[in-house]
Amino acid sequence: MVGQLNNREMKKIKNTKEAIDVFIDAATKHTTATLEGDYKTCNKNYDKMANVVDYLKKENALYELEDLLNSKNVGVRTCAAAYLISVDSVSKKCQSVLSEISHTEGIGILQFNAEMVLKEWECGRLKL
Amino acid sequence: MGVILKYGYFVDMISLGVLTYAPYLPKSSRIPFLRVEHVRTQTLNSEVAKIPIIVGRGFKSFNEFKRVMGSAGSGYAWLHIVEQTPANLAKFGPDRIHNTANLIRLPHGKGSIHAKVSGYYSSKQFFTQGKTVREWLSQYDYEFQYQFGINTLEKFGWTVK
Repeated sequence: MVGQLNNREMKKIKNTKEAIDVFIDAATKHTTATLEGDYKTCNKNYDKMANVVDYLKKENALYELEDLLNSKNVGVRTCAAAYLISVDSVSKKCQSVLSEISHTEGIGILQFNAEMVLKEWECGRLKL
Repeated sequence: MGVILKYGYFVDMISLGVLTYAPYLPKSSRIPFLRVEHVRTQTLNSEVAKIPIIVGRGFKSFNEFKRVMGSAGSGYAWLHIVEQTPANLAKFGPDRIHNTANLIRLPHGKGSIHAKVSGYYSSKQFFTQGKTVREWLSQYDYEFQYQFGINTLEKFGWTVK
């Protein structure tokens, strides 16, 4: 999915390590902004993640997100799982991560988001 | 005449003459002069099921609703559970959107549940795939949007009083 950041905001990614760092930062900000209802920050960081994923796909390196499935940050885990769920080799693990988050109490809308990603995936409508 | 309300029924509390509003009642109670419609809908679990809806009082516009029901009060605002977007108004009609069963009164302002829910509907989430939640939701029927709205409100901390 192509991000919609303008040229000024779309910093060119130089390598895979930088891509992962940008993804972690954007996922963290997207999560906080979601909880606060700050949609501008949320959408800007959604587009940054989409930009990173485009880069990783071009580099054949989407698997680099796999380590993030073990992140301590629930938002980072959710974002990584949402992008990797369609990758056969890690799909089961992503479903398990999302299922666990969707049953975690006390995380508010993040619980619902994980549940909705899983449902859309199960219905065959999720194509990230 | 009348219906027995059960857990899981969506109910219009304004018609019951109380000042706080709830989408459902925790226990059964008999209420006269209300009508139940069983509507076939896709649930959030993507199953097709018939769910009971208590039909509230509808208005032709939000202004007419406020003229009759009053303002939400200082520091409060009315929130449409199924949003009053042009698409929803065209699809479902103003009577179902500006309906006592679809409007709740919430504290308003920065950091409020009202602001967080509105922000969430304008945000892009992974299950919406690049669309805003509002744009994504517009493909669904009234009952799906209603359930989604209630779930969202609850996840942002709204509780039935």
